[in-house]
Amino acid sequence: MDERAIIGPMDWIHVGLLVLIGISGGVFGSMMGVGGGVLVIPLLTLGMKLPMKEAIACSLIAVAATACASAASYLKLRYANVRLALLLETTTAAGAIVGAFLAVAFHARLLAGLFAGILVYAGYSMFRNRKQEPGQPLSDGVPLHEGSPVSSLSASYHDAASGVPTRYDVRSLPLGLGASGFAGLLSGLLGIGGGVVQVPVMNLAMGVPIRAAVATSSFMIGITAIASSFVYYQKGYMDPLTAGPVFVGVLIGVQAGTRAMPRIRALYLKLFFAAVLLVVAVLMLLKAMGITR
Amino acid sequence: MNEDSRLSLMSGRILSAGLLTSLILFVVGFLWLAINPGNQVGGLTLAEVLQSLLKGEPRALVSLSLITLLITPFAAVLGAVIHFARTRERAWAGVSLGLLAVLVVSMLAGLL
Repeated sequence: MDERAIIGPMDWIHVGLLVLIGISGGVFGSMMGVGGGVLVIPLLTLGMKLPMKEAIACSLIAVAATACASAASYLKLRYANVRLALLLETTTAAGAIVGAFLAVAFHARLLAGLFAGILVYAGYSMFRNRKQEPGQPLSDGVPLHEGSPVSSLSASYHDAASGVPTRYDVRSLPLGLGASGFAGLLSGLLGIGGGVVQVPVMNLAMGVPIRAAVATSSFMIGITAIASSFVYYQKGYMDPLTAGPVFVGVLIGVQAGTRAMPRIRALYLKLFFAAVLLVVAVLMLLKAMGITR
Repeated sequence: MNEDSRLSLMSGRILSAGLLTSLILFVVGFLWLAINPGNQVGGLTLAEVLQSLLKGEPRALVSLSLITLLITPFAAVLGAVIHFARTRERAWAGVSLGLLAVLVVSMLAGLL
């Protein structure tokens, strides 16, 4: 176990930089419904010269903090669909366990290459369908969250950007469950969060509006991160003095992200998410070519 | 307020409570460490956290704050199980209980 004395002036600068990294991860993750590892890990490894395993462990804390803080806000706003999250998470969590066990047998670079292709397709689909947003305005006189939903997965929320109460029905559930299992598998195999898969699947295939997809994904990624987090914690990679300031920064960043997200038009959220998918695809391609780990 | 709204509010409150507890533990532990230069830092295993807490070491609080954060989503799923059991939604109680079981298995598999 790492033992060192605390805390000199340089350490305070170090702590400040870690808080800033946490803030950027929190803003980004809460607005996109992803863990933010794609941003936090490179900043920690390249910017703070942290070893990869410590950076991943620290990123898992950032994911858990982003997920809890943003989901708490989105649940109050009724954007997050708890039932849908719980249902999809059953296959995601199972997929993550299988992925973790298969990780030793599979060629990670080949998988990263395949995953990059899927992300490019998802990014392109999101860009192509940027103006088609699922969900319908609730008719006047029908109170929000009351009435008779088509199924228990149907939900409604007040869209702050358009000012219109919106309702949606979830479709293609088997496809969603399969894709969630695949997201979990990738999470276990490649060490990525499931958000980059879950959000496009919910929005493009299952008829969930982008705002609700981001919020529901926020709730899910915290649950997905549990298993791997404990592995990294128990193996001693989670240095509290590194992870702690990142955690505090994330909480600050999430406050900004969750306030901004409801005000951004769905079109811009989709365009931003498509760009995120393409960036992650490039990172995965670099991994596939052996340029990065 | 319908059952879905109650479920959302309850889940949100569990997550907020977990976050707040974790933040308080971290801030107290971190400041305690900062004003006592003689203390040691570094991660503790789950077993070591308990021993360290009994000795009154500040680093135990910092480690405990991270553990609290990591188990908070788990508590939200547990809350959903209790909610569905109370509202007698058997299918949904089964789904959330199944998820809870998968999470317990994955945590145990990770710790072994």
